[in-house]
Amino acid sequence: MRQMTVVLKNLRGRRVRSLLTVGGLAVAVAAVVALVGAAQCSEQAFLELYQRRGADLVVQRAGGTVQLSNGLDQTLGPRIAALPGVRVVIGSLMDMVAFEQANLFAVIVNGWPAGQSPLTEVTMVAGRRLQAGDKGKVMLGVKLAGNLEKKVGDKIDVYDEPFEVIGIFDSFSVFESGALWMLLEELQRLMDRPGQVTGYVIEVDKLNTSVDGIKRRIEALEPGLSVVPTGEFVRGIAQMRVVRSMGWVVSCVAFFVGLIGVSNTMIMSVFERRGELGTLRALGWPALRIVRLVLAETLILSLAGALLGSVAGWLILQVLATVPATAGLIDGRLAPQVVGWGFALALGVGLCGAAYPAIWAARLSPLAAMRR
Amino acid sequence: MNDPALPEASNCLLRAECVSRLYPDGDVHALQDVSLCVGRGEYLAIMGPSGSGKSTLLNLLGALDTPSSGTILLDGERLEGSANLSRIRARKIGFVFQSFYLLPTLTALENVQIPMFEGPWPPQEHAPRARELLASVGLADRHHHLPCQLSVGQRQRVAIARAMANDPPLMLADEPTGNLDSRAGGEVLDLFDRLHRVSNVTLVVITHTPEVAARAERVVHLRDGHIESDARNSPCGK
Repeated sequence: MRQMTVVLKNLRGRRVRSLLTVGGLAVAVAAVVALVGAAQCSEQAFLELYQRRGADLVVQRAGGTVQLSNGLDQTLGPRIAALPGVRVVIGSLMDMVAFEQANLFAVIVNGWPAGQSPLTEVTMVAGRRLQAGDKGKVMLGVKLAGNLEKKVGDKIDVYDEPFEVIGIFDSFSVFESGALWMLLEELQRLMDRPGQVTGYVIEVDKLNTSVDGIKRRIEALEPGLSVVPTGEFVRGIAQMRVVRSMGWVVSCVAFFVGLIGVSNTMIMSVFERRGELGTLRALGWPALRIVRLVLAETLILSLAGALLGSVAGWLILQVLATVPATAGLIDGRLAPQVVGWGFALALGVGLCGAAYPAIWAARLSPLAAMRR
Repeated sequence: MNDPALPEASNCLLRAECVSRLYPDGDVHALQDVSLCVGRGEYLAIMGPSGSGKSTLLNLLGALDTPSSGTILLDGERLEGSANLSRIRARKIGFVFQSFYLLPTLTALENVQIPMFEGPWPPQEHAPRARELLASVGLADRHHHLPCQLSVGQRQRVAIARAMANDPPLMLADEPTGNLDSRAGGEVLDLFDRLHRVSNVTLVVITHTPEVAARAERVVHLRDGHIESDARNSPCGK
């Protein structure tokens, strides 16, 4: 018989409590995996969108916290494009709208110049692409069209104005397939920001020019410009930071809730078994073996909770990826590091929660414990 | 009233010298200046009324408690202040308790293996040895029974097999028949007799039953924390 047999039999012998502890931990891990996973998933999808479109730099107005709604003059685009080493410059205006009747509260609206990427690059599922002069017309991402139950030719109200759906497109990115696109001038008019864009994405000719060099040259064009690599830009988006921070807050709450649960379980378990633990001490088990026994029991509960919680967290993400309210922001991918974080949280909770009961059990006088 | 046939100091497996135990909480002197030598291979019964200090003495002799003053030596090694009390208990002492103290979630076979974790046997020998020990106490067909599936007499026999797990030179039994009916109690005492005779184990049994004490070679009577008498049983008394 190995010591693990004693550990497993102890857990099996107190099945209900073991299952409740695993359940409690699984809920905590699932909450963390789902929320941190959703944040990570959005960030990753956003980064991937920029990278697959070849963007190296993002130019925005410096100093604002809500970067998505900061503005730059549209005349800056041609000046950036004229810099040697700049291959592509795409300026766009971005906003978020709600379609409350469809329970959609954060739909991305992009205004693109006609004939420009990504307008020309997405795959059309139905209808046609936006062309110069298309007024009162929009293209819908396939996910958004599904959620709104709209097809080509249907009308849709945006900013209280009716628009005709002229095309439905698909994209590798959930941020595009869940978005609504119109021509830049139309969105500028609707947002009352004539001649403005939210920012520019820049593709650099990296074979002949350094990205850093272009960055400095763009910054020199006019004061107050923020030119950052795409990765840094995505990580710095205020909305992303809020979601990420919420993920960490939930993780901390989950840690302490889990810690209280595990501590309670292990303290009760050890107190209840003080006679048995005293017997083990009387039969010659050293304090360290008792500590290992208690810790091993907790670690097994923690691992089971982490496993179950990760699966539950993944399932929650899959549900979020299909529910209309979040489908346009989350694609359901779960990064391995998020699962790793869930496991680390569960093991941390387990170790911290078991520390006191393990030490208490190890210091138990065999005689006092057996007398009880 | 000391018997001249008591063991020589040089033959003591277990030796208590002027041992006292004071419980400060109740200001109770459970034992006062008790000196005792238990010879190798001896079968000793400790008798006395409730509160006489029998269990206190057994706990001190078994390294489960430490004396307030005095010295206890087991196989020449001082118990008080030793950093190896767990190891001493695991390898040199077998315990048999009145309430058996078997682990309820483990089978008979697994309970017997518990002390072996700290014993001299390699892990692969644990189960075969436990089977042998259970067979030697007449429980060859009860390996996979949980304590709750065994009679009280069978539970005590599992506890005796467990006490023998690491082949200790000393076995301490605290009222081993206290929870058993006369038939099961008789079987346990027969087992003790056989262990003493065949394995030459040194046995110290606490009891307040004269029939149990009559099986021992020597009987120590305690009263109010003092040794009242220490004498060999006459052969016809056994």
